[in-house]
Amino acid sequence: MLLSSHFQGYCRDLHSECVHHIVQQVPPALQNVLRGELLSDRKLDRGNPNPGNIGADFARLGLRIWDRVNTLDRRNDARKQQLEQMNNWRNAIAHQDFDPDKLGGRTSLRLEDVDHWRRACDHLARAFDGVMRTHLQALLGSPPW
Amino acid sequence: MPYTRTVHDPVPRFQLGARVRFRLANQVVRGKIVEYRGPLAGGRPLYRVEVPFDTNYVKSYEIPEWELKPA
Repeated sequence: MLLSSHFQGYCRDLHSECVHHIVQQVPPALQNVLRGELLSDRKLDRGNPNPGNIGADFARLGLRIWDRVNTLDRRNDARKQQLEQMNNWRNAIAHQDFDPDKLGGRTSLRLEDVDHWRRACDHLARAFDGVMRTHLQALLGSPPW
Repeated sequence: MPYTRTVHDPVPRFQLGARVRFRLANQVVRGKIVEYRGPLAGGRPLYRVEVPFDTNYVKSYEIPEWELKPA
């Protein structure tokens, strides 16, 4: 749960920072209007950092983030599956509802599972950072960070 | 640079619950700070502010500190 929470925080912060750089490009009177719309009902504010929520929130910024991330490194597709699995376990623990069909046929968690998820999150965080940096640089004409 | 993007976390000027105002399009709106988001506005403090537009509609905004004034 802690790992999922940290990763959610990272994705949410990255999204906020990207929005900040984008809104700087519009006239000042419109910046907060645009900011409000790009953040309205953001899934990462309330939901888990699952692939669907991440894809939906970053799609507002004009890209299919999972396509870009997979293009960057084909191993990211497997990491995306691990992220999904991590969130399934997160929900199982939070709701005390261990359905083997959703948890890879098991109802107990191993330390090595968490180690794999942690590594997957680390790689995905780097990939998101790189993809968004490239995306914003193409949009804005200069690297945002 | 994931996870540790920021090396300097400035001290936030506003506390949670503080009443603030900021410009939204051609008007000034008033709201309440509900979250300090950290130094995410290009390295400067960013806050989440809830603005009540009517009795059943509250919208939240992430506003950089330099745009906020005490209400």
